Amino acid sequence: MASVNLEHLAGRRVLSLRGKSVGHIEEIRAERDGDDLVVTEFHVGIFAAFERLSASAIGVAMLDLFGLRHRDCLYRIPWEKLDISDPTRPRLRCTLEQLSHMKAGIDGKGKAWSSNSLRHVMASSVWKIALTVFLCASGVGTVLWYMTGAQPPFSNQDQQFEGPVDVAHGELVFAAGDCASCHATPGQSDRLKLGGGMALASPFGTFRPPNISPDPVDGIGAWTVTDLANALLGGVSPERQHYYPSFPYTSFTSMTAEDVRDLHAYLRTLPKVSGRAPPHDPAILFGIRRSMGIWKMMFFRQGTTSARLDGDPVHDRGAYLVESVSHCAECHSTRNAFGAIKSDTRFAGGIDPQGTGFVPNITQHRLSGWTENDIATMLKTGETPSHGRVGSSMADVVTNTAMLPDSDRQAIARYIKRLPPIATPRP
Amino acid sequence: MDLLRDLLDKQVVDRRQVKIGKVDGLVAELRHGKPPRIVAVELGSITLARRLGSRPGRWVAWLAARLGGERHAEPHRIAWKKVRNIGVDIEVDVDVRRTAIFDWQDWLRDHIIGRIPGA
Amino acid sequence: MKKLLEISLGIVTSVGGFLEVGSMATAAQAGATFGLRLIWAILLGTICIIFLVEMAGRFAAVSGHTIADGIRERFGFNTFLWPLLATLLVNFMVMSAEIGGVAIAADLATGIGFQWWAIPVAFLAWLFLWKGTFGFIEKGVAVLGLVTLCFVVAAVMLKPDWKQVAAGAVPSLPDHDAESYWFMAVSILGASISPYLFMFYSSGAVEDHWDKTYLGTNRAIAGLGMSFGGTISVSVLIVAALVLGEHGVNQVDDYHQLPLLLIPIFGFWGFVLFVASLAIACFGAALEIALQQAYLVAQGFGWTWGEDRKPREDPGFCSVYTISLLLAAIPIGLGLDPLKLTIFSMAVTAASLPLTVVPFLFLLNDERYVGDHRNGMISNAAVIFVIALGFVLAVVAIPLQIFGGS
Repeated sequence: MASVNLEHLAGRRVLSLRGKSVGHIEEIRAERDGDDLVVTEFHVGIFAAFERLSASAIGVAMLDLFGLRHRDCLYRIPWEKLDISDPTRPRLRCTLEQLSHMKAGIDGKGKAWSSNSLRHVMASSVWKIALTVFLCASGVGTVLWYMTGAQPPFSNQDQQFEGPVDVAHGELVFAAGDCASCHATPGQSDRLKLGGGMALASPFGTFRPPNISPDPVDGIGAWTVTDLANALLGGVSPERQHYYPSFPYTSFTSMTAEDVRDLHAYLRTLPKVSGRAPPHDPAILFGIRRSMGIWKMMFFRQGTTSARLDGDPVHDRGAYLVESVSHCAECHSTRNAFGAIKSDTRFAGGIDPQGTGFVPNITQHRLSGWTENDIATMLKTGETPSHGRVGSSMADVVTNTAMLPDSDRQAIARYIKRLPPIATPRP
Repeated sequence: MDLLRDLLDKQVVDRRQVKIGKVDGLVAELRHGKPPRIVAVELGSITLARRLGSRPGRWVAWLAARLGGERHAEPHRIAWKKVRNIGVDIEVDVDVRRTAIFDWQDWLRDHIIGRIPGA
Repeated sequence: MKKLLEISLGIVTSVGGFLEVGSMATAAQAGATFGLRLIWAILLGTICIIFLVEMAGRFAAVSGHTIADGIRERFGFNTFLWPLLATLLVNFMVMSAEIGGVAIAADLATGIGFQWWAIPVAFLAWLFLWKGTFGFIEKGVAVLGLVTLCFVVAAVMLKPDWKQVAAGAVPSLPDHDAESYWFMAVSILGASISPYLFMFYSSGAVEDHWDKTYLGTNRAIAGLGMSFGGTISVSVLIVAALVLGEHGVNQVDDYHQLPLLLIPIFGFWGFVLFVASLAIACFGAALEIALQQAYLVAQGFGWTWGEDRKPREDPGFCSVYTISLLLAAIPIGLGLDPLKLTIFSMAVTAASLPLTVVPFLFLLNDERYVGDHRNGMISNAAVIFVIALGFVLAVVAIPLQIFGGS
């Protein structure tokens, strides 16, 4: 007589006469017959698996939780109805209709479920487990919801944003912040028409800087100074949404209240542009703005700066410009898997997140041949000491830095010149 | 009895309570008009490898035959009538020293472990 | 009286098992870089491991099975293979790190490069296993391990601001170097919640013939022993935060910086104490992990196992620990930086947790194994929490490993 290895049946899919899948074998029941042990039933379906793991209560609770419980969860197939001569391909010997009489399961009235102990276990602990799972889940959910909410850090009553404003100084902040490079309407030459809409490609999707002209409907004409402060320093919009970090609030966050105030005043003097930028096109997970709450929790500390101060007023002014307003590190660093700057590559260059080449290392590792004056000159004219010109996006930056007073360019140059050398990370 | 839950993968001990392996496989005899009857439990790497798929099964069987000779080309079987007690462990009325199950352990002892001082 | 002795011995043992190169290195790094802010990670890890160890012990005492036995029986061989392979791999890396820890201690003491010590250390460990009994290894090494209490003394002598210590016990967000902060937190959790710890504990309970009368003992040992271990880790962190920070070291990337921890407090003896602590703690852990490798394989395949038997009686079992020790010595012998390996393996440990902890949810609720001593609500919630934590760590640890770790 042929013999078969029963262990091959475990977890095997059972096929009906027509080749349709009925479920997986989860248990083989045997009974004593005289001196012999003979196979009597095959249990198919997920309940049988729960039963084998003594986890019916948890399993049923989980199925209910996801609304997956249905009647096909347990078949008890008598031995003669299953052909196991090839244990890797067990086949039913009867039709599915006949099989439906062998269904056993919890069918609402609870009569077909045969195991008494099981019912006992279910009655005593299913609600406890369900409650535990529910409480844990809702606890975690509430905490997450709370922690990822966008709380504007400043209220409209905040005194620090009130006071006299200096529009001319605001213009310098605007230039130092390089705002026009991203927010000017693309396809026209006026850098003061801030209609937004340029596409910023990144591994996390395509982002489009919005309209920040003083248009009250499409732009930010209706914003108060506090709204602007919340955006620049807190990364939170007036609609209480998180901004994507393609807007470099990670650097702006250490700007002074005075600069925010003056910038706000200056922005109001610019021409209104109507029309909104097309929406962002973020990668799938980042489509949910709240996910930025988690990102900010991990990588954004409001009000902090990576600036190193050494007491020299020119250097420290440079530190403020480089690290906060001009946000140089945002491009001149390598980013980690979550799109945050890797702190040990700050200013050491790396792959352009837009995928258009390599951003140079501006630490002393590469710039050791440049003098302070070389750097300052480059920021004014775009010329490098080797009589070349900076290109691509740095050319836009130079358009803006050229408008700064000489003292500010000197300050930036001094800070850059004193950056410790860091080797360029290998891509 | 539930075979997968109460039998398969349980510890097997011999007559002298020596742990000799796990119930790696269960062999049933198919009979005409009568339910399949359990005839033996199987132990050993070949049975285990076969559970992972037919290819690993063939490789391990080939390897076992190469290393151990004819005697090891097939899994070790213990007849069902030798099973005495099914509890925490499955007790079988066999003396492991009279089977081929621990041949490899004996080989290890005689050729390697036993030669290291202090064994 | 006998019970009391047993409990105190058990506590000493688990302290010895808890503190190893992983907890020392991660705590020292975290203290140096982030001050007292990461104490919460050690506390969280300690609480999790208390629950898991208690369950592993209870399971072994009531059912007479080890956790590995249980996983194979309930889930079948094909499923068992995953946690088996994952644990073997993680254990291999951690054991290599432990051998590296002893080798560093020897390097510091003699000035001979650490890679030359890998093979001698592995050989010495092998000799202990070859000749020793379970009791000898468990208790002997553990009693010596009490030398690590010098960190607690040091932490108290430094008179830290206890208010700040308490503040560090509350999870907080980093103010700088965010990615290395999270990586550090993951590594600390991995160092505290090591699968080898609870797997070994359940094997030990079976080796010591525990039965139901040991349930109280088990609870006391798990709770107190792991808490003491956690206390020492926290002390290492405090000492690192205060001493290294003061000396301007805010990044431990070279193990030669480590003895600095105790020198300002104890002078030359601080150096000796540090080297001794490192050597003993790591050596003990290497022994336990080597044994655990052998237990795991033997239990998984149903061979005879037990450290009290002579190698001649148990050749398969002995071969496994012999080969594991030899293999684990290789990376260190080739000059792989033990500190980097340690931090890396701790993060991998954390990521592998779900594989070994998910079975707890089933095994500890199964009347056929644990009868009336099933998990209560709190224990189940703890298991679910560890599993969830493990999943999060698995998702976070791997990218951080690649992008933020070094």
